Amino acid sequence: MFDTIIFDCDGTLVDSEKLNNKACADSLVKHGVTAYSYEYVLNNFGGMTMNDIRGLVLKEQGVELPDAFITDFVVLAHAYKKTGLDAIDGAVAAINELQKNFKTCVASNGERSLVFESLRVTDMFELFGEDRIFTRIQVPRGKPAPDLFLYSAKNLGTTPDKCIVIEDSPSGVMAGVAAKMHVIGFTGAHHDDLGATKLTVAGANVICRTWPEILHYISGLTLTKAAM
Amino acid sequence: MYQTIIFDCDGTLSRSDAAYFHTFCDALTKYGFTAPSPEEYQEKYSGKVIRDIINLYGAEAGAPLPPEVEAYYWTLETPYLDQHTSPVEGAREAVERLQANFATCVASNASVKLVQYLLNAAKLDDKFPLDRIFSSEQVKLPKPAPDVFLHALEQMKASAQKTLIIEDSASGVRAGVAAGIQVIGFAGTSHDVSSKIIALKKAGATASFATWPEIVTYIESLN
Repeated sequence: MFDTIIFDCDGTLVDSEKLNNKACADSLVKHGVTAYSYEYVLNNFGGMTMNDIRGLVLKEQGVELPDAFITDFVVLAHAYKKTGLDAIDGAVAAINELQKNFKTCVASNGERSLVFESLRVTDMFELFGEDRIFTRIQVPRGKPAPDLFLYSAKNLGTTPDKCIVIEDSPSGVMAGVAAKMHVIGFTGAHHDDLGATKLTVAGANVICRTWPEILHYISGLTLTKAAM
Repeated sequence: MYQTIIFDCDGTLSRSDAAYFHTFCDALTKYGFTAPSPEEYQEKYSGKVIRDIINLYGAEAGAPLPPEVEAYYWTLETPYLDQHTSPVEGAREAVERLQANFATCVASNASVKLVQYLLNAAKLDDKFPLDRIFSSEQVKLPKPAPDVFLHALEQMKASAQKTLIIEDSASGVRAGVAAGIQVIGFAGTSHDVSSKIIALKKAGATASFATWPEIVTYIESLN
C-alpha cells in the first residue's frame, strides 16, 4: 500500500525547465560560447549541473568558463522566473488532493536556492516546507542514481515500496526505478511523443500527460493494491 | 619541511573499482552485449563517468548502446557499491601514522556526501571530519584542473611548497602539478602496477609506489 508521493520539481511542478535552459543558453552566449542553440541546450543539458556543463564546454569547445558564467546564470534564472514562472497546470490542486491521503515531498537535482525560489514564486513552497524539499547537495550522487529518492523515503519514515515518484525526465525516471519505487512518467511540460518514449524506455511504470490523469491513475493504483 | 598532506579518496584510501566494473558488466550482459575484461575496463573506462563509458563503448562497437543499459545500470550501482567498496590495504595505518606529524585532508572529484560514504566504507570516516573533506562540487572545475587542490590549500591555510598530494590517477596527478604541489603516485589499486607507476610519473608524480608503507617511509625521508 502506497503512503508517499515524491515530486520532481523542474518540469513536474513548476514550468521552469524552459526558463532555466534559456538562462543557461543566454549565459553561455554572454561568455562567448555560441556553439549551442537554445534548442540544443534544452535537449542536451537538461538535468545537468552548472559544473557539469562547464566541464562539457571545456571538453567540447576548449573554453574554460569563468565563475561569472554561473553567477550570470543564477541572476538570469531569477530574473526570468520573476517575469514568467508558472506552476504546471493542475499541479497545485493535485498536491492539495494528494496530501489528504499521502505524505509528500519534493526531490530535485537543482541548486537548493533556485528550487526554493521556483516553489516560492509559484506559491508551492508552503505546501511542503523546507524540510520536505530535498536537493542534490544532501546526497552522495544526484539523479539518475537513486540516492535522492532513498534519502527522501528515509526522511519521511517510509520504505521505497510505498513510494510513488512523479518525474518528467529520463534521468529522474531511472533514479526512481533504481530506488525500486513506482514511477509515473509525466509529459505535461511541453514534451512530445519522443519524450514519452524516452520515459518508457527509462523504466516508467506508466506515462501521464496531465495532472488529473496522474490523480486518476494513483487512485486506481491505490484501490487495486487495497483489494489485493 | 612538509606540513600538510592531501589525499585523493577513491583508489587511494577507498576502492570501489570492482563495484563500477561489475555494475557495467552486468548491465551490458543483461542486454546481450559483451562485457570487457577487467584489464580492458581499467585501461579504457576506469575513472570515467558512466555516461561517457556508455558512449565510448557504443562508439567502439559501431552503434550506440540502447538507453535500457543505463537505466539498468542505475538499479545495480547502489547495492554493488555497498557490496564491493573496501578499504585500500594499509591506508588506515598510514593515515594514522601521518596524522601524528601532518595536517591532513581529502580532496576528491566526488561529492562531499559520496566521499563520506567512501571513507565510511574504508573505515576512515573518523579520521576526516567534514571540514577536512574538499570536493570539486565546491569549485569551478573538477580534476585535472587544479581548483579543488587550491581550494584545499586555502581552507587548510597551507602553502603549496609545504604540501604533498597522494593520488592514484594520472588526471589527479596533473591537477596537483597544475596547483604547484608535489604529488606522490599510488599504484597499489591498479591491475598493472608497473605500467601505472610509469603513467603516474609521466603525469608528473615525483615518486610512485605500490604500497602504503613505502609511501610513509618516503614521506618520512623527505622530512
